[in-house]
Amino acid sequence: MIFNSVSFAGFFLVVFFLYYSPLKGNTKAQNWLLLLSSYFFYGFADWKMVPLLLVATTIIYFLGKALSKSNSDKNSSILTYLGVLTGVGLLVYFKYFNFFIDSFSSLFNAIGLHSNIGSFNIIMPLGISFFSFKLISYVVEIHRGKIEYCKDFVSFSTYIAFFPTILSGPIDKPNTFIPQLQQRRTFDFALAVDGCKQMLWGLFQKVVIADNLAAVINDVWGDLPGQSSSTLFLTAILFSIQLYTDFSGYSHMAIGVGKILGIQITKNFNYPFFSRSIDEFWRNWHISLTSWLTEYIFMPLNIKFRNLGKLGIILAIIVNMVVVGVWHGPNWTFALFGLYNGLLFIPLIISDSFFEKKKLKPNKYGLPTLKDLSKMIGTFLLITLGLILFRADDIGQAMGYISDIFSNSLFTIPEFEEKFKALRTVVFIVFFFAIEWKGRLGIYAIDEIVKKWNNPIRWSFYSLLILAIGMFMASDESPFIYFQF
Amino acid sequence: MKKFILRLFLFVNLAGFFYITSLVVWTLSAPSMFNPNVYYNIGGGGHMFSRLSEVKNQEDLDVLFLGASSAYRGFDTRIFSDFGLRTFNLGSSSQTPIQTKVLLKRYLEKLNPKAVIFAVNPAIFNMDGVESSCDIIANDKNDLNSLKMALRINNIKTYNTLIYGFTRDFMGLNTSFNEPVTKGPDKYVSGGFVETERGFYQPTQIEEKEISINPNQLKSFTKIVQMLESKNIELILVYAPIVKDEYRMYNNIGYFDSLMMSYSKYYNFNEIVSLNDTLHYYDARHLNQNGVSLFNAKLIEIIYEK
Amino acid sequence: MERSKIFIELTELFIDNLDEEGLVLKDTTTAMEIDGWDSLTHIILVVAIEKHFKIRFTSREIHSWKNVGEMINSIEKKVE
Repeated sequence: MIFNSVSFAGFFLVVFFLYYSPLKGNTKAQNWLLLLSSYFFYGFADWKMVPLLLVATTIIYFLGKALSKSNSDKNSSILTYLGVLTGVGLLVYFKYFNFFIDSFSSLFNAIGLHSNIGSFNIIMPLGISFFSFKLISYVVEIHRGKIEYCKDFVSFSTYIAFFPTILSGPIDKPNTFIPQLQQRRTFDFALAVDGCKQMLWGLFQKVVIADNLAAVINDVWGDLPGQSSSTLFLTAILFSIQLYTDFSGYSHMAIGVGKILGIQITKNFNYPFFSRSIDEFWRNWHISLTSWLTEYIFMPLNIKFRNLGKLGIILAIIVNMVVVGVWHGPNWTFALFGLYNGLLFIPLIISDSFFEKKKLKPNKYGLPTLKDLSKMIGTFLLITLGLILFRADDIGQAMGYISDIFSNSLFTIPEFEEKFKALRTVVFIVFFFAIEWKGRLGIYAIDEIVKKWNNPIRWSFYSLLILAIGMFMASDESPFIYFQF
Repeated sequence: MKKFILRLFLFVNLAGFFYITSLVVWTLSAPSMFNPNVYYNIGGGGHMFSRLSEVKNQEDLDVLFLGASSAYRGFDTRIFSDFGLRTFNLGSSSQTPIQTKVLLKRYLEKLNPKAVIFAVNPAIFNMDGVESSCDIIANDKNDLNSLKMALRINNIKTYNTLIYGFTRDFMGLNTSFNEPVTKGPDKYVSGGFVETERGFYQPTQIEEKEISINPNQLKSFTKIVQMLESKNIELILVYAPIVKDEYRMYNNIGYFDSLMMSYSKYYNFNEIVSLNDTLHYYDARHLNQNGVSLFNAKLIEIIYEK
Repeated sequence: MERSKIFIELTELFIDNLDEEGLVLKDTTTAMEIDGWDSLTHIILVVAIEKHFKIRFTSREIHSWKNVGEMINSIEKKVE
């Protein structure tokens, strides 16, 4: 079920009423409801994989229990390795196994050896990239002594399978999520209203901007030969915006649903396109993923390489970014995407600006200074270049796309099949970024903006958003991009 | 929580009223390129307005024709009239089973046909029906069936168009509308057929297609078959002929044939007549008037004379 | 080495490496309370501490610290 569908609305309405009416204040029963509805939600999307989810959850649950009861360092380490192996093993098998087979096959063929290895028909369970990370962090956090093992199987399984986030994140840490399941949850009016607002904002981004951009961009990518450079250039920029509004829109909806249920889900985006450098960008984009990787890949590597000084940090960053790339999928384009972004860190690390965190100070008109604006644009363009790799089917296609941008048709007017759709969407994009800029101190843009308004004006604004959604949402259903991960 | 529900209820009502008002005002004033999610095309292609005005005066037919453009451009009611049959052609642009069901619910009782000839093809079972739903909303008076149709199609375009449609009906904005009989090369013929002056098909590149059945459409189609069965109305399914190149591009036509045969008497005229692609069609899927004459003659011969 | 001495030397290291003048540390101080102290500068600190006290921590020790007090405990154990 995608969030913007009638079936989800019906599903959530039922869960909401049960959660707060008969089950009000009964923590245990509420958790059971969350667990059962999460499994129902997951089963609706992918019923064949429900046993897998349950089995993986159970294994990690018992590993966690054994880990906390273990009294020797050696046993602790073994159990932790088993847990990490389970999570990583799941990912490698379902996501990357075919890729490895194909790559080795190509390698053998390239050096003249013929291989008969065919790839298996492995179907990737939905959400595996997200819940396997949750399973791994649970075990590691117990090992590090940061959390106690979760005695209650229902709470633990709910953490892993929590329906707003199971398919596409955000990836919550057990440290912040599980304790919430052990607290009494009665209906919180302010939080529920906040959740609804956040959902509305996420919905707007997703269906008015992301989905409409998808149609325009897919048209171009579906017919690359003969596109003018200006079209390719603009399409690349629009893709960056599509990816952002799609994923951040989804995240807002997920977080909003959580809030309505009285649960705080971790933030996933913090206005990444206002970043003035690559490192600032990666601190503000897909935060739950990058902080997971920082915690379990970057930091350990950094510690290991700490005597290599800046070279150590560079190595750690590059490995980390390649993992970020490869996490997205079994394709060399993602690996190259990661490597490219990792290399962009090098000048920052060498010049020490990597270690500074300068707060963004607007000029007297409330707008970014010229210097900051040029840094934002520069960062945005660098990111956009990398995202071409992200979008392409293979490296050849990406390289072709990039080289085609740098030709003399760059200064012509871009040609789009659906001109008016593109134009309308650009208008909304300008409006959207104006709101994001004005509201950038808030957890989500409109939260900060409507704070100072009175009720009638706030309600008028929400009504306008709803009107914009109804009048301009893409009318052919497009799935969320991050569902394929 | 009560406070939340009440405030939400109040908000939904206020926002709803604002939405409907704004939608109507915007649709009345803004050009269509700035209004992508409303498609209210009264008097649009296919002459549905004239057809639905005329159908209200018909009753007790021998044959009722249903289907998409292959129906309203393919069954010439004058030819059947010459043969002595009282017919009406209720085909419409891109009509899918979901819309056909709505039309039957509205008009079947009064029309009371002895038989229904339904033009079927893979395309109508594949489409989502949005375009045709908007066509019917704009060119007929809307009722509960329109709402049920919108819910089944579940597309924002249909919902918005229906809101606008209900408003126009309520405010009586369509009472003075008149549709011209001739629109470009098309001429509306009393009885529901649209005759075209268009000439000859120019061959173009046609892509290979796979037949894919939309379960929503199949559901509505099944209900149509049951509806007609319950009223003892004979149902004849007809796959009107299309250009050979187009027909050959379907790589699993056997599947479609057996599916249709499982519902009712079925004739695939692509296997029965042999028409000339250039002389008898004006585009890949539609017969010109010469082609229509030949097709209808063969149809009458097979159904009524054998 | 006495704990209080470690405390003073550690505070100096913090001030030098995090560029925070007038910093006052307590046993309970955590990274969240100090502006320039994040996962990156943390490693710089660790390197500086190891260099200064001529000791070496294991990865597990580094990950286990929840606050300044626990850091000092680890330093104490390793320094003669």
